[in-house]
Amino acid sequence: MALLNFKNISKAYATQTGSITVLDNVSFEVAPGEFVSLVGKSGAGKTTLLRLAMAELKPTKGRIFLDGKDVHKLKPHDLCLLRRRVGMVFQDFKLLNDRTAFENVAFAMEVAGYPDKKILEDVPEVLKLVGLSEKTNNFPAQMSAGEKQRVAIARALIQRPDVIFADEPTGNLDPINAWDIVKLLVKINELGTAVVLATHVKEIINTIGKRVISLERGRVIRDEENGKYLI
Amino acid sequence: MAQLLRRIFKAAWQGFVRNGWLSVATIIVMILSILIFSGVLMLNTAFGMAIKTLKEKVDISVYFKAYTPEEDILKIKDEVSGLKEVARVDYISQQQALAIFTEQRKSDPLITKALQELGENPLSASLNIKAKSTNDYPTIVSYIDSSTFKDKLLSVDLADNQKVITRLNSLGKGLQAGTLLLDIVLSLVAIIVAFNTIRMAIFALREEVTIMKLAGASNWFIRGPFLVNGMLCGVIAAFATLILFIPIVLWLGPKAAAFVSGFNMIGYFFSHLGLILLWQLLFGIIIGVVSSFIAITKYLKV
Repeated sequence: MALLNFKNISKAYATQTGSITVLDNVSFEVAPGEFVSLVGKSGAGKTTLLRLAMAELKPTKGRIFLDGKDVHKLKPHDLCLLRRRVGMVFQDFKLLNDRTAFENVAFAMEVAGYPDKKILEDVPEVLKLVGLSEKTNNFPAQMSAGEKQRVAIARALIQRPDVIFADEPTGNLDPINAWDIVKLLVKINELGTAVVLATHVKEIINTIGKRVISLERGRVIRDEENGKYLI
Repeated sequence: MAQLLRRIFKAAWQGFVRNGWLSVATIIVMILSILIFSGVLMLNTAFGMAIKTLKEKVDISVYFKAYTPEEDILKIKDEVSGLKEVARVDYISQQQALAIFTEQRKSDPLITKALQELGENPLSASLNIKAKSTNDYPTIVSYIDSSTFKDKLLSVDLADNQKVITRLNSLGKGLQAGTLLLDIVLSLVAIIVAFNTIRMAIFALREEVTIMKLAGASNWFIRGPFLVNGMLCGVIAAFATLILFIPIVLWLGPKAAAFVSGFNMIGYFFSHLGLILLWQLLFGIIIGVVSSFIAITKYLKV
């Protein structure tokens, strides 16, 4: 069974002059442990797809299933539980600015009710995995963009999620840091976590050599194993 | 549950300390709001005391004809005291009246000389009647008018008092309505100012709320620290307001006493310190928690 299933997803926003269609009848599946790159120009609908999958937005049409459950029909409590099974990495990091690297990562465990002992064991381990052992007590303002993104990945990883959604995770990074982050995502995928990477960076996609879904004006125009960025 | 509460309180305290300037700004505005609220409380007390003091000064004096036996007057005193509308009746004999009159006019040698030349006490014995309520005076007066002892009376100084009573009653009602309106307006101002400050503080942290939601936090896990933070700001603001109130009361006390005779603001403040703090704490906590609850709910719809 597919881990993630987008079924005929359409999303339109009402404007003063009518409505703008951002996604138009998009359908695809993601298998457990798969690495999928969503590519397309800015405005192609990549971010909207991920926000829909997190139930942050509601589709105008269609349904999204995660592990067989329609994410938009979940009760608030079940939605919280579902979000704990999905790691999210954003272009602008979205860290809690008044918390240290340790506390940002620990937060994801605290919301799930893990005991302090477990948090004290797991968080340093994950921070070590992303190469931030030395920055445990630093606040986001005291870290570089690359380090912030590593904290975001550590936070996404800490609950051992089924899937990580990475929305333009290299957008604010220099090429070296960008490659480090991509390598980290590939490594996480090799350990068994599915990854959906939304990006418009051609070099990254062409080097990874995994499945590529190309979006253009809200439609899937290509879906290839070992694909390339051909837009 | 204990773990959850501990984490909520820890997050609230961390947020309070680490967003120090935001917390300070919120507390300052809440202090202003609680000051307004406390001012309203003191104003109500001052007005209440002013009316009470004025009403206490109102009485009816019933003067007896000369040579009315004291025995008869005391019987009448007992009869009037028996009326349910009467709070107190004081008998002032001719000698007492003279002593009071002499004491009050001792600086006027002409009056003193005139009294000495007169050779006898020209003043009448009287009864001073105080009613339980200013509304009861007309009833007491009409009872006296139709009484069997009316022929023993020289006069009843009703007319002047009647005017004062009527004015006091309408002033009391007017003041009551006025202070109620002032209470509502000022309390609303205090609430709106505090609410908007807390709303702005939470608005500044709205992105964090979204992040928490996407990390799978429940609404109460997110809301909890904000509510505790609001409560904390309310408590600190209440204590700070009480401390600020002390010099204000000490400065304003003598002025208030001169304006409202009998209103001992300083004495009232220190004897009701606990109660005032309780009201301030209640106001601070309720406004802090309710404002935070309303403000945060808007950002939880993710």
